[in-house]
Amino acid sequence: MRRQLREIGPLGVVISGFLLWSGAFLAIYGTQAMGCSLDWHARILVGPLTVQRAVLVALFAVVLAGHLLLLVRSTGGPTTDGRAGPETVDFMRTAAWRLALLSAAASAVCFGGVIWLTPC
Amino acid sequence: MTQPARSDALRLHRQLTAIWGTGPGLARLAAVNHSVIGKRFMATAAVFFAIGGLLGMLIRTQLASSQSPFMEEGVYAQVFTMHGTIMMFLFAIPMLEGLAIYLLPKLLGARDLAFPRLTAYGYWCYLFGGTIIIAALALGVAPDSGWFMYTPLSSRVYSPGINADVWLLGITFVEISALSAAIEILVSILKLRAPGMSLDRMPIFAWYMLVTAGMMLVGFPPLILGSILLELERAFDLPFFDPARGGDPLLWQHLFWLFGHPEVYIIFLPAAGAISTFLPVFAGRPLAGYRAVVVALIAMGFLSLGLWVHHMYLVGIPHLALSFFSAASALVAIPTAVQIFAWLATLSHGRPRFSLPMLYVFGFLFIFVIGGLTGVMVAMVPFDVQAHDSHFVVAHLHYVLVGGFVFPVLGAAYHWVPHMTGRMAVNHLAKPAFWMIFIGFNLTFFIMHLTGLRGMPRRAHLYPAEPGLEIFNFVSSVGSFVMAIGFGLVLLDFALHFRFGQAFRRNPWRAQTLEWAMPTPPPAYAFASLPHVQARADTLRPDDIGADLAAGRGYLGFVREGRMETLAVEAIGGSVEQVVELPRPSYLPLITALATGVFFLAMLFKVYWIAAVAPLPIVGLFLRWTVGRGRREDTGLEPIGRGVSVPSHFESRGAPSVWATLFALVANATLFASLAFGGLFLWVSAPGWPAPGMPRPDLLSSLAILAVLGIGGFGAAAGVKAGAAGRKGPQALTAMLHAAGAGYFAWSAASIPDPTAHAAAATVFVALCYAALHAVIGLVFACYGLWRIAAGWVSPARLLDLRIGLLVHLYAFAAGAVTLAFWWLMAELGTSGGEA
Repeated sequence: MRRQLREIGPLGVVISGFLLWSGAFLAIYGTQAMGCSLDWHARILVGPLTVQRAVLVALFAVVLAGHLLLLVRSTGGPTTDGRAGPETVDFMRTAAWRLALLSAAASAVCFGGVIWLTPC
Repeated sequence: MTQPARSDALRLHRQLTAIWGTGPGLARLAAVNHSVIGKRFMATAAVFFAIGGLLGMLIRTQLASSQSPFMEEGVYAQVFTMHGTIMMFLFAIPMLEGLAIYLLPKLLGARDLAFPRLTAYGYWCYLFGGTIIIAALALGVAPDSGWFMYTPLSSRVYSPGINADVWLLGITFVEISALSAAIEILVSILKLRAPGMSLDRMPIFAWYMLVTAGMMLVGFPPLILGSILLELERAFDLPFFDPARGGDPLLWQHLFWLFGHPEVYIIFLPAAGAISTFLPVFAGRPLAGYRAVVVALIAMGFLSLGLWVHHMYLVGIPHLALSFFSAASALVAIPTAVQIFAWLATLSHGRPRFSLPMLYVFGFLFIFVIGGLTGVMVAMVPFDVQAHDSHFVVAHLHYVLVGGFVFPVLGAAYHWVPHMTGRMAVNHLAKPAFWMIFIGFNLTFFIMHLTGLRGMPRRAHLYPAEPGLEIFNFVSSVGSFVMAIGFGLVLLDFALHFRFGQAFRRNPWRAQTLEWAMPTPPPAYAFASLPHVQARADTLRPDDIGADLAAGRGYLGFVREGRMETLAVEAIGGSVEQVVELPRPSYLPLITALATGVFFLAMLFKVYWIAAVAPLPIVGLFLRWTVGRGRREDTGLEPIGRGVSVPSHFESRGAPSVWATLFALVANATLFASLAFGGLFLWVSAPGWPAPGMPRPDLLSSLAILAVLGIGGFGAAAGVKAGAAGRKGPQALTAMLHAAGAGYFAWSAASIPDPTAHAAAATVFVALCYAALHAVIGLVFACYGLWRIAAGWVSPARLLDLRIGLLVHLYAFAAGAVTLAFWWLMAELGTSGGEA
């Protein structure tokens, strides 16, 4: 299994931004639903900030930080294991960078509502 | 070892045909060849399309006037349910599977797909499952709860007959073919390419299918789980969707649309892939923006998995959650647009020939863009609140699905049917047929936007006798008949093509992809020898390459010991890695599918003792598939021509079957994750929680079984090395630990006092059964490993069977541990939370 994962690893790097987006989607949607069920939106943390909002915004921040990390990573270093030619390396690198950018934008647009929308 | 001598082209052709060909008469039932199975898939899907189309005409006949007595509402419900079910499950998906099965090996420069018998098994499951559903229609007991089978309408209380069971079991039977095709396609694209074909040189259709198959792998398991849970509720009263006992009808909607929305893209992407392949041929230049298109369709694949709730805007979900899905729904339009602009750029930079397939491209662009724009409209919550469940949505979905699938597929048919038949189309009827379909379609469905906005609900068999509705509906019905005549003309046109089409020698469209570098109609072995690809696979010269390959001047340009051989490469860079020996034609896929059908029929007719026994012959038959497969001695490196030698896949660490096992386990894990999601969803949102009398696992026995599972995991890992040395001890230990796990989980499931009392207990019960089942599967694999070691099929070089087994063992042990954790969690959550 390790061999297969190593072999397909570069493709994993290419889609890592959207893997993060998918994980974030499930985590933020699940947290929002669970928070509403547990009345987190009614528990004031400080001022107008509720537990629900604080947790969701924190999650959102973590996700954005993750995307930032991926963006930084995808700008450097080869994304293949050395068996691929230079054209393939360039292709994988370009795809990884573009997808990292797109997924970061998708996260910002999809989850930005946690900052101001009514949570429950 | 020396390389076998090359034969001349004709002798090579005869030798290869003798090995790869499908026999005549009844031997056709043993066919496993991708060309044969692919064509069967497409032909069967076309038959189902005709049946579904006929039902569509019945619907339009009913709605041609406001108070029509043509059908009573019960029959109408069966007709519209079956129309949607057939078009989605029995036409669209199998048609794309057939297209991919037929084309992919040829585009990738391989002789066949990775698992020909699995392809054949998938086809028979599709045929038998589809036949069960159509038979139910003929007998008047067809599903009647709508194609998405919402509970509680489809629950036993409101659908007491067999109708809903036909859908749940029939569709699950059919979906075996979808999952097997997904695994087959993923492995074939990643591994069975021509040497030198790195990912950046892959034909664009392969990229589309790679993404599509990945989506199928994680998209179908939630639907299969939902179908299992609903059937368990209907058959055994386990209350997953019953709000009176801790269940929730919305769980079904989540599970269904987790599949249902990606499904739209699963249907669209292969069709778009076909366009991206044949549009450049007629534009006279390669596809513009290849990299942008690859990036766009990967983004599309992911985004489409995050839209499922946009079918559920009105069920009472908080605004914040709606914003996630609304944003994703709007975003997915962007990668779609990237593809459309890439096609327009290809046309504008090329010198387009307006041959017949291009008519369908323009029809597609016109209709699909309208469907996409109305899609953005219904993605916006305020608009959807107004249009939901109205004919506007019917119009939108037909613009997307017919525009996005039927038109491209017809274009693809006119492009590739000459490849299948070796004849060029006559085309006298093709243009009138196109215009009748195009005009008829728009007449039928554009008007539905208007009737929908005027408030006409979908699925109603009567409507108020207002001129605004009645005239529009009448025009819509006339349009549907014009469209149907158009499809009839297409059928006639193809019949004329088969009978009177002019033979051609090679590559009539001057395409630059590999499928034209072979004789047409294609021989069973596809390529007499395999190419070395040195450029992007849509910029090749098939005429030159084809002559070279036919003469045996590529890889494997010879026959070795009567084996069916093709090559596998490293997944990213495309360097040649192993020679893959494929299995011969066999009746086993057919027989196994028949045995599988017995299981589903026994479930359908509630003969549960047969359903309980049926898995035994099914497992036995699958094991029979492996008899004679493998090598009894090491063969080392084998020459493949052009001075290159590689090991056989039996001696390779990265054999296709290891990859297939991995992908199968990913699908399996998705199903289990969907079950866990179901349990947590019910805890969060279902009424009737906390669960009364929720059973808790015993701490001591939990720790004991955890130790068993842990030891099992380590033991299984050690079992491969030991097996290589001929020692059977660790495999036997693994078998015993699986047996212990199966016993524990089965006993735990049986010890739950009343799984029908509450959804929490039912969910844990199903999870425990899942763990027990996987322990039994692990036991079977361990025993199989023991047999393979004892019978001499395993050596330090030949470890394929044990490597596959290791993956299954690790998954089974991990599934047991996760199930245990899930039980503890549900026991804890069952005493709190929820909306009491």
